[in-house]
Amino acid sequence: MGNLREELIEQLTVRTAFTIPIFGGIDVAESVVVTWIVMAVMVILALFLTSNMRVDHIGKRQAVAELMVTKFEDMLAGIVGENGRAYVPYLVTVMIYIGISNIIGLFGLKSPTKDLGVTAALALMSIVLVEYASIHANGPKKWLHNFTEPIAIVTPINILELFTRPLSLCMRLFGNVLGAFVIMELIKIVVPIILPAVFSLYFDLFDGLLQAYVFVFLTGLYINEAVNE
Amino acid sequence: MLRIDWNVLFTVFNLLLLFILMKIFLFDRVKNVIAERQALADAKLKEADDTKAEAKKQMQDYQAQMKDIEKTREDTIREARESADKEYQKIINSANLKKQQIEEDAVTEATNKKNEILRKAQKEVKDLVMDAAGTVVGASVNDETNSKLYDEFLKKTGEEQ
Repeated sequence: MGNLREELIEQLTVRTAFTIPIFGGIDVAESVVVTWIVMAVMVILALFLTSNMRVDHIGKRQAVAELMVTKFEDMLAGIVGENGRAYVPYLVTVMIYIGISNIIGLFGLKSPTKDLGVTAALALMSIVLVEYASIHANGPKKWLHNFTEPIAIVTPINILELFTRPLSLCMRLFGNVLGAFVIMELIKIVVPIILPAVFSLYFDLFDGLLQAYVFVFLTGLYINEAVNE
Repeated sequence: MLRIDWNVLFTVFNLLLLFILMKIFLFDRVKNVIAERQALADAKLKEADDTKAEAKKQMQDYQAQMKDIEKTREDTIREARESADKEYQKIINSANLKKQQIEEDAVTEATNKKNEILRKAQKEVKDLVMDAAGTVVGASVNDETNSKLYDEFLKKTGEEQ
């Protein structure tokens, strides 16, 4: 069992991939490097799918690109509402990024979402986007005033929400990915054949994609609330 | 595992970069091509509508023209018929008139001729009778008596006829 503990800790530790030798050395985490790989995959895929775009007689690649973009956008546009349509491309990007990040463990890389720093960054961006959407839609005055809605006494709670919302987003994603990983490792030890493959379908694939959806779904709900207040 | 440092900023930067790249290379491209296709479809639909409207207008024009032509045709035929009737009537009238004239002329001429022939015949018969009577009666009878006799004779023959 001591072996298992060491292995789990090894898997869960965010190692430093390399150090930038300035300001006394900036450590670049492994998750950031894996994020670059995910980014490269996404951009190359996008370039591949959208090369040679035509208006008619479209090829299979273009059909896939159009289907993907329109389906994802429709899915998220329904959540953020008509006023929040401008934020849909960002949400789709984040959803694809988290989705790929969650299942990249299947390819032998460490999921970036297993690093609290990454999920914290995602949650931070989400809450900044939500507050920006609110200010953009309502104006700074109304945005501030909205903290006292529906009655003045809830103002502290509303302010607290500024921190709890991203914290819950961050922790939910991190916890789910971490939990799924730990459970999978345990299953692999208990029953090393066949069963892990079945559970892997759920914990690695389904749960990974589900958490990507949940993350953007909640962010989308917050944006919807912000722009339609 | 629990490590919050510079890398949060790196990830933020990475995500922003990723979003910008995806927007340029995926969302905008797809959106543009879909918008282009929409514009093309709209233009085609509008063109079809225009063509349809044009065809309808031409059809109506054509029908109106056909109506005009039909009316003109009927008018022309009616006018022609009327003028032909008039002409016919005129010709008939003038023919009748002429015929009447000719008949009248013929009658007058015939009467004149007949009268002349009669007169000639009377004169010749009278001369003949006078000659014959003169020969028969001789000099004992004068011309006055002869003439009398002749008139009587004429009267008698006239009555017999």
